[in-house]
Amino acid sequence: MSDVEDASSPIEAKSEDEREERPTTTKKRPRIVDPDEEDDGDEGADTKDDEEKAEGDEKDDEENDEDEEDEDEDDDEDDEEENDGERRRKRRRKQKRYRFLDVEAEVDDEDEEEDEDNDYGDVAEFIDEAPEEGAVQNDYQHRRLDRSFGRDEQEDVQDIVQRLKERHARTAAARYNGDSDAVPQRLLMPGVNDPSLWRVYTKTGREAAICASIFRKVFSQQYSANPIEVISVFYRDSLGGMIFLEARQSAAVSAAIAGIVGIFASRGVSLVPIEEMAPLLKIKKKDVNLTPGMWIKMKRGKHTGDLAQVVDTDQITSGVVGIKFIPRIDLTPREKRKERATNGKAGGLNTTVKPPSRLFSYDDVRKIYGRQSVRQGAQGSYFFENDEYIDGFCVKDVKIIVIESENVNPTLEEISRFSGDDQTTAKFDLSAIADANKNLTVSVLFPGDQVEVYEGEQTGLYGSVETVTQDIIAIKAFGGDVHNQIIEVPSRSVRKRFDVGEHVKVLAGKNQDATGMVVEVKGDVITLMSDQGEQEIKVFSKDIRKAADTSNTTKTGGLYDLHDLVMLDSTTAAVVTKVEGALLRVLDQNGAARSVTPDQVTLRRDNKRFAVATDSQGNDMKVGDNMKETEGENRHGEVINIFRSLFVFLHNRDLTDNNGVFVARAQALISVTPKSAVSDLGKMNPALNQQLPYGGASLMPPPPTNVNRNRLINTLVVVIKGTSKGLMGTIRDIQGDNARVELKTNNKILTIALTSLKRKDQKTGQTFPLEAGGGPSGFGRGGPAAGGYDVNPYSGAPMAGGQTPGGFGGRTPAARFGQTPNPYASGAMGGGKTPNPYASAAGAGGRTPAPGWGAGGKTPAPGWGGAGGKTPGWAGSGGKTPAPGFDGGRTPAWGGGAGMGGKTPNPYGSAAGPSGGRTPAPSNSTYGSGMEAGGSRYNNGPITAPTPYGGPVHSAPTPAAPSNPYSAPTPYGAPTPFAEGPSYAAPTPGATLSAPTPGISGGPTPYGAPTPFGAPTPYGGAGGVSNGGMNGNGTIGGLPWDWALDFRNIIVEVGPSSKPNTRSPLHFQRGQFDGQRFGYDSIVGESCHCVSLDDGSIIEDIPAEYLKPFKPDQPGQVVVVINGTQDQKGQQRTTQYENDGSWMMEMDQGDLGALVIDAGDLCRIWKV
Amino acid sequence: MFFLRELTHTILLHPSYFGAQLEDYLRQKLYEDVEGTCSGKHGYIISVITISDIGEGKIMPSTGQAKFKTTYTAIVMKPFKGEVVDGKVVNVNKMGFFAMVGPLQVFVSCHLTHSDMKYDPNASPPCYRSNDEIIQKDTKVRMQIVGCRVEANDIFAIGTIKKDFLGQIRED
Repeated sequence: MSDVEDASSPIEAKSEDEREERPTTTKKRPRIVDPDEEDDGDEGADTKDDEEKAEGDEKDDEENDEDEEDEDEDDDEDDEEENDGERRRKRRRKQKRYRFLDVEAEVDDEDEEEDEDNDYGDVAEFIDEAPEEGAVQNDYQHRRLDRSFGRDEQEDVQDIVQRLKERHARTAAARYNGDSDAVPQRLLMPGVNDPSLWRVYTKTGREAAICASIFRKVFSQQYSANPIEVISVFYRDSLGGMIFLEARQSAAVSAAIAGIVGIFASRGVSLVPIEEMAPLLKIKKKDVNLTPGMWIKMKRGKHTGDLAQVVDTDQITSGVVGIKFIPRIDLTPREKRKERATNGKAGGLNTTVKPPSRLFSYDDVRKIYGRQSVRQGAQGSYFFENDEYIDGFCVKDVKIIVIESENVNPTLEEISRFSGDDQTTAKFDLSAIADANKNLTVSVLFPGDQVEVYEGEQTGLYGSVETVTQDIIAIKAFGGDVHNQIIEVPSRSVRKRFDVGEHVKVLAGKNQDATGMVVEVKGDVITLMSDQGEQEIKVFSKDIRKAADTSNTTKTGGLYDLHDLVMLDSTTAAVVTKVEGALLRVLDQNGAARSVTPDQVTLRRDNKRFAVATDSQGNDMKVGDNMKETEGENRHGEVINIFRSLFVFLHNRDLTDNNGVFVARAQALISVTPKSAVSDLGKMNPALNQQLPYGGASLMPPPPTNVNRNRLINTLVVVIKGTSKGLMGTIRDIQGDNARVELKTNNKILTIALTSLKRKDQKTGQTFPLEAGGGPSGFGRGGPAAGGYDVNPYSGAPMAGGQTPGGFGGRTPAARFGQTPNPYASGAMGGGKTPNPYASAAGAGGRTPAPGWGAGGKTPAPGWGGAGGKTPGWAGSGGKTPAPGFDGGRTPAWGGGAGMGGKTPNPYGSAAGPSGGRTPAPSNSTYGSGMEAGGSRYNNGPITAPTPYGGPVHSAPTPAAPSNPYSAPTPYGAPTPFAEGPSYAAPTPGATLSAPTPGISGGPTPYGAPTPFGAPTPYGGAGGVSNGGMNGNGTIGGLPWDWALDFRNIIVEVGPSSKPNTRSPLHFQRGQFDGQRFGYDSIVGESCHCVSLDDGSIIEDIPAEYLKPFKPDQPGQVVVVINGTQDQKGQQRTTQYENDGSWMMEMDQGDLGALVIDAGDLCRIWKV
Repeated sequence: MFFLRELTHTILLHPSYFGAQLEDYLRQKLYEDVEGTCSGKHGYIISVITISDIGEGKIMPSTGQAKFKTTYTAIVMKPFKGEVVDGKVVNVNKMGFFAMVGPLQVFVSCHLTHSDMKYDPNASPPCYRSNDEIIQKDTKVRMQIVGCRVEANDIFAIGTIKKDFLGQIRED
């Protein structure tokens, strides 16, 4: 219908058209919409002819139609009298959309309103109808005539069509836009043309109030001269301490926030980037889906972190949920409560300690708080301090905000605590536990698992899991009608199913990796009988899975792995044959299998790369070789560990005992793969071995520095690398190669690699490597020996001992040792070609009694002869029975170096001497015997080399009194020519290293004497002092003559001059003060201003050369170390224990081990 | 459950045993070697019944030992789930009790006893006690095996007495 048509056509005709349509289709109003449109189309498409043609018909029908229409209306009204108004409204609304029908609609409405207004009902309408009909008809005719006239004036049809099309196109588009609610999100996103968001910092907690003030402020100035142009203000709960304002200009924001308290205007107004605006306003949909029985955790108050259970969710809409939990009622005495009350705070607010959570006990609470404080409610409930307690639980309505409902994951312990005790677990709602862990279900289900459906319509069904998707699992049902059918069930409604007697493994929880057999199944809680510890374990079924029948022996990534070599005690090694949860199954070196806990054993360093043993045929075997027993069961297997080249642990998976691990003596093994026979004499030659990469002396590597790193704990260290470089701290823990260092600066604990740390001496501030030989300890840090670990112990040993033959024989193995690239050799021996190393010792020590030398010289001799029987026989001792030589060699290097020789795992060492070479003293004490043994052996020894006695050198040096070579204070003066040579001094530390060997003490034993470490002699001779080459000025038992000038406030003794080549008289003032004790606190030139301690009136300036240190004579005396290594010297210590001229010092912070210092190196302090 | 099984065992015999009594030695060694052992596969070898083939001795190069591959028939005992066995209690603790069924150790958890059975730690020896039963050390019990843990050379079983006709066996 065109506008024109509208305008010209009689109104009635319109309604008529519509009415005409209606009865033919349906009476339902909604149909109106479509027919109208069709009408539009039809009529639009109609030509005038059609209209005209129809006109006649219409005229005829009009009366009927009108009747029908009215009846229609009546019917409708009858039917829907009540809905009339509404329907009309609807119709009107719809019709409004058809702009062409506006008129008609009005007419229609008018009709109806008339109808409505007509209170007479149907009858009245009937009466009214007749006159109206005639009038209408009349009117029609006139109008139609008018219309036909009008039409003639119309443009032609084409135009109409054209315009219609245009209009319809337009309306369609418009209608589309109008109808659609869905505006693409991207079009709603803020852009540059939109107002910006500005962030303003406020006082936390006052955001809402501040927003309100800004509202008020903006509104109040809205109609003023200069309104604040802020469009909106809001804050987010999740973003505390800031509010956001929407404005086009920051100036508006500034105006808005000006003068409002609580806004940190100083922190500025910052623009929120456009891309962050939308996320800022996005509401994170939080599904708080609380159901009764669900586990939650409390987030606030003294119950923070406590488990609670939802009991009712009736008021969930108002954000309140009823929960129950175990209360924490403070049952401390009443006085305290009174105190608190006087403090004006309600109970518990100012208590720092959370009272323990325990079930409410009426009696207890009444006792503490009095009867009137607890009110009894109905059904055994109690009211106490406004809380209700039922069955011991506190039942309370809390806001949802204060509880945490996600990731609650209650442990079985918590739940069982919650439920009281184990007995009530049965009563407990197990499904609640399952609920709490529901989210995890999917991840722990694997195809093949046996599951059981415990809720939903499939309840009771069980079967094995076929496939697992996110929420649905397909299970192959078992039993019943659905046997073998695949059924899909929600994964949340299944749980793993285990039968009593099944062997299962725990996957998670504190009992992880434990295996056991199921003894009880109660819903979700499975009780296991542990395989290892004979204990019962309760776990959730979700946390376990069926284990293989034979518990697996695969690696488990713990501290100890399968086939690790562990030490059961210092002498017993064992190999892990099985890791059973927390227990280790081990096979020790004696073939005994046992179960141990990891803390009962220590992990032995990994020597797999180096460990070598000699088999029954003299061939080497290494880890990984296939060996066979030559006796017994002839088992064969692969070598997995070698302990002390003696015990070989092998593995053969075909064997059932100990999971295939067995132990055999190295000598009872033979290689499965034939090897070249022993014919290779070169291998027996230790000198050649020496040069092999892993041969000879390197059989065992030097002990790694992590032997026991725990001793580093509490060491003061400085960080030398990384971001914390330069910071000082204290080691708090050692974790593998890292240390947890507590920094001094900020008390933070950092994990720093040990390699990035250096030890720091608290007093001197000097730094040392962390692991190098024990810093202040007496041995091993002297001079070149500092690198004790790095030094081949073998070469160290033969150096000391073997140099004698070296010096004399030239071609004996020792000489070759000398040629090895070894610090001792090169530094000290001059390639073994120096006349005699003992010379140096002698030099240091001064007059060594010949017997002492004899011992020193001889000791190596039996070492070579005794063990080997022939000079290269060393190989015999070193190779075939490597233990004696090897361990002998290692002991000093290790023990001495670390300053804790007692820890050496050398059984020989400990067997040989009661003190195991731990302190030099025992070595000394047994020195004589060692010497004798050595001497006798020497005489019988097969070595034909010139005896050390014979050497001209030996006559001169008399380094130490045989009885006590260490304290050796004798050798002042009379320096031998050797004393002068600084180059000779160097070997001394080498000797020092080897000195404490226990081998000496074991002189009479075949192992003791033959070790090359008989060589401690030079040590003794050197007085244990390594400063032979320190200044070449001459020494007092190793002290420089002017030592006293380096110190002050110490006690000295006057004696003969120690200055070499001096022109001063031998005795100060003719020995007037000899033997007297003096203290001095100032130095004048080369003299000390001494005050006699015996007679305070004697004050003398005594030249330093006459002063001897006054040695400590009692424990507990404060001394200063006057000689020794650079880091020891100057340390102030307290004596603790004396043994044969050496003092053990009280441990000081930062000490790695006991510090033992020769008495000669100590001097008592005058004024403490 | 007991079975007769034909099994093989390889014996290594030192040359010093080579002689007229070789076969005796072999028999003796076989008995020593296998009787009383357990393998997860076959169970406990209770007794060798017959030695069907003593095998042909083969001298091993390099050692001189002779290797005999012996075939024998033995009674083996292998427990099965669901099997009812009689045993003698060896140890009682609060978790349950251990009983020996011949060489097999069976653990009966307290969860797998009748609910009226309570652990009495104060009795001497400690026992499980119900109205009509006392289970203490050396009591003979009848159990049903509910599960077995089979290891390479050991078998361990869990039993129950929480069923009819199980529990203490009275001598009368």
